[in-house]
Amino acid sequence: MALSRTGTIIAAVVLAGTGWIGARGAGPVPALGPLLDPANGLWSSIQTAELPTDATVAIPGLSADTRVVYDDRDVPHIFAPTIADAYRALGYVVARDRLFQMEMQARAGAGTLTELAGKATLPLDQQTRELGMPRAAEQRAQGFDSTSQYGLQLAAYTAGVNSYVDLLKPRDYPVEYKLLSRAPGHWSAEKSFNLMMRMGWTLASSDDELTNLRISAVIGKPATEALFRTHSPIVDPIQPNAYATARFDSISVPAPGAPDTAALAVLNTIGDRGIATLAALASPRGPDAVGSNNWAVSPKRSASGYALLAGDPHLELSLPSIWYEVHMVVPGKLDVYGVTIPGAPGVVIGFNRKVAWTFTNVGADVMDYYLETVDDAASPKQYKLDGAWKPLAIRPEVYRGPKGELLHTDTMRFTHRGPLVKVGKRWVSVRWTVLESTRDYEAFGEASTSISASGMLDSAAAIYDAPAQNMLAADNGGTIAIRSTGRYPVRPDSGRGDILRDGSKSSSDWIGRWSLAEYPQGENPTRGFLSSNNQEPLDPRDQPRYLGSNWERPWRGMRINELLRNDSAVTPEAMRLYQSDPGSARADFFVPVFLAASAPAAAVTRSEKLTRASALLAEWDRKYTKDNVRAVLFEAAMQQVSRLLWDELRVDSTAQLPLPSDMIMASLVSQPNNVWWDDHRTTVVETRDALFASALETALDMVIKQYGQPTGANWRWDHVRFANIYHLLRMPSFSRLKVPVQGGSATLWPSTGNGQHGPSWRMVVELGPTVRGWATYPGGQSGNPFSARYDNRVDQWSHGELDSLRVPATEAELSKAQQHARLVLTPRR
Amino acid sequence: MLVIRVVALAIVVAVATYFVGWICVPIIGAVYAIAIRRSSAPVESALAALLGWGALLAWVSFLPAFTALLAKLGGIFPLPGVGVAVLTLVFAVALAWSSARIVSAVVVRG
Repeated sequence: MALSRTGTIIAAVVLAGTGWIGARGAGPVPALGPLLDPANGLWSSIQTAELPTDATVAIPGLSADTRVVYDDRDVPHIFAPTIADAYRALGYVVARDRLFQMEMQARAGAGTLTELAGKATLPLDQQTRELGMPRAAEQRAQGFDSTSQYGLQLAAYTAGVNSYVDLLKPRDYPVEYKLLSRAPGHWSAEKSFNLMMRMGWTLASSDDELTNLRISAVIGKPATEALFRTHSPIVDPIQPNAYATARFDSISVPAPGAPDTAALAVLNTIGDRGIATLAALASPRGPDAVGSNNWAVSPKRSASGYALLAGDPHLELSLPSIWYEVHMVVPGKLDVYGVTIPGAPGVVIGFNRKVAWTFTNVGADVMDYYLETVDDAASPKQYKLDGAWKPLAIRPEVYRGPKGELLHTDTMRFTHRGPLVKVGKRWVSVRWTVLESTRDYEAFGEASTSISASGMLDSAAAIYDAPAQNMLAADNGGTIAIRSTGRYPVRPDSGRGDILRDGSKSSSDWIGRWSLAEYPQGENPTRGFLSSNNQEPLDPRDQPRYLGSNWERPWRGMRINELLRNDSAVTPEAMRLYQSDPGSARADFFVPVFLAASAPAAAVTRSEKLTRASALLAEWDRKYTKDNVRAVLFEAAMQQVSRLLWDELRVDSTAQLPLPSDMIMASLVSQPNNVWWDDHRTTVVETRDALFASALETALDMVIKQYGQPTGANWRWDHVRFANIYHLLRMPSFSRLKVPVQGGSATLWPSTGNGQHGPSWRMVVELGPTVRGWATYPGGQSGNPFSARYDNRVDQWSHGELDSLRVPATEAELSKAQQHARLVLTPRR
Repeated sequence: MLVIRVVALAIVVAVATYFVGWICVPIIGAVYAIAIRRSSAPVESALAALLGWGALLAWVSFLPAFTALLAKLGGIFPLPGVGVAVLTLVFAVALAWSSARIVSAVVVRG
């Protein structure tokens, strides 16, 4: 049979098309060949979704067999003969479950996401490099003592990861690599440092200098200082003070004044683009965005007579989770259980047989900006210091795409303070403790082997700089202790770090650091408990020195302190319930204000709508339970109050200004005729009560418009607020979206508007003769989206439940039924 | 004989795909066309590719995570999971048929 020419042409077109799209992809479509290959591509990703029941793998560098037993919660228990073997195995098992996440997070800190995900991530990479994070990680890697105890552990961890990578065939690559047509690279110590730099940016960057400038340029300096305060007006500090409950300090808030001309001049120089650049240097901050809780209870206030500790760090939620749960045992030397960050060598938060520890973020100001004078505004090579020109350190930056192609080049510059950033027409240098921190991983290692709570805090304080953390510890001797640990700079003159300083003078530089004795801290307080919730850690009456400004609102702290004060026999179960407590100190404060303002206003105006709104709000039990149908009205009303109260800060010409927090609003409640209550857009002079009544009335309209009548199910809180846990590549089918949660703004389980932040690891530990722990996190141990272990804890987390943890001292303590899988790592000679 | 030939070729396709990867599919199609020098080579190659990749897909379908994979594929491709399976098979068929067809045009004389 003859073959037609037409058929041949068609075949040629088909082969060219399928070959091209198979090998190269087209537009957003990745190369389909390796992806659709049923033996090596997407389909084969499910071959590694579940762990084999038994596996033996030979890897180089081990001193002897190291056994890993995965329990029925998928937690690997590593039983190793030496500490180095334990860290090598840790690297291996974490990579086995979370390899893509490790690479992605390290690249985020290294500014090389473009090499993985292409040009779309260039702005993120530029921002990372602009802040000098990759340079700092490089310097840290070069200066790291690889022969020290922790150097050897890091080297072993790195080798463990690479042992796993070396064993991989393309079919074994995590599915994300296949979708991006990429292959995993080798791990290095520098990547572990990159990871920590990124975490430092999330937790310890700030742009209060910019906030102050922008607000001062609208309402003047005195009013700005009052609204964006260096000390919280509601005082319930981390270091226990002389007060049994929160203290509301009376504050003076002057009327909006004339714009500050100096601030205006600076803003005019840097322009809108400069403002945007400066704002992007700091991690976005909003109410409850990155807040955390921890608390500990003394034996005298616990039902069992043992110390209790609860840890509850709140971070951006993601799948896979930021945490990976693990247990490492080296007989006689190490027995630590907790969570590690994939890529970080060691347990970050957890417990051993004697001590448990956890962190919340301090939020201290450790990032300062200096307005520099340079020799050439377009391409500076020198900066002026004390009248003399100093050379800038110059670093070329090259951005490459997935195939190694050149995407972009930049030149980064550094003064003696740190990175120099072009901000509009001016140049600003940044000094930041995160870039100078070198021993964070050592601190985690010290915690793992600590034998007392105070010993844990002391060893950490000696070496840990950034990001500053409220480190809370409890031990089986009954001690509870907390210390806000980190490097806090001492600044010249006013000591303030929230003002843009003159970079041309060395007298603007930091002149020291706080001494350990000055750190916020407490041990075994008479009240019998300690807690931290990101609030200002010190009572300014005890220590007025500048540590930061615009502190996190104290509502969560007030709530947990109230719960703990009222419970003289705390149990682990109560600790669990407190972690997801739906009560709100904020609602307890503001609801009576709304109700008191509404009744007389309704009587005067005869507004049926206001009467109805007030009645609906009065029905609320002030709890953010999932089935609650009144919280939505309160939140809408609070939004309205904010809108009306801060109308002076709503200017048309600029992007939206940051607004003062609702603790400033709370402080103003005791000043019913303060001029800030007046809506300057109306001819009458409003008072506090008029504003609250008006806000509630408007809120009812808004909620009905958005959610229907109050009798409908649409007012349910879980219809309004939920968690959105996105996959790292933000692919919806790999994400868990609209997960119902119990909590709202300023509750112990804070729920933000976008649902992308929340409790990332909930842990309760009882420090008795036998340590007991309970925990969960919103995700699962596997990073493989097709695994049953990928998101299997999300529902449990959503319900506020915790698992009982298995903490075997030996492999034999885990019954066969409790052993889900086993891995034996043997030395490869 | 035809059935044996196609089944044998399907086995070759499956094994080669496992060890080498997708790129072997058009190569095998082309080599097969050279080897048998018949105008039926393109169809036989396509059938073998369908069977070979179908067998590999059938194999992975017995793994526990297959249901999860099918359910989540819709978020990666604008297709339901079953549609991606069909696309996979069509891709293999297209590669095998087209390469064998082009080679046959050269080696098979009227």
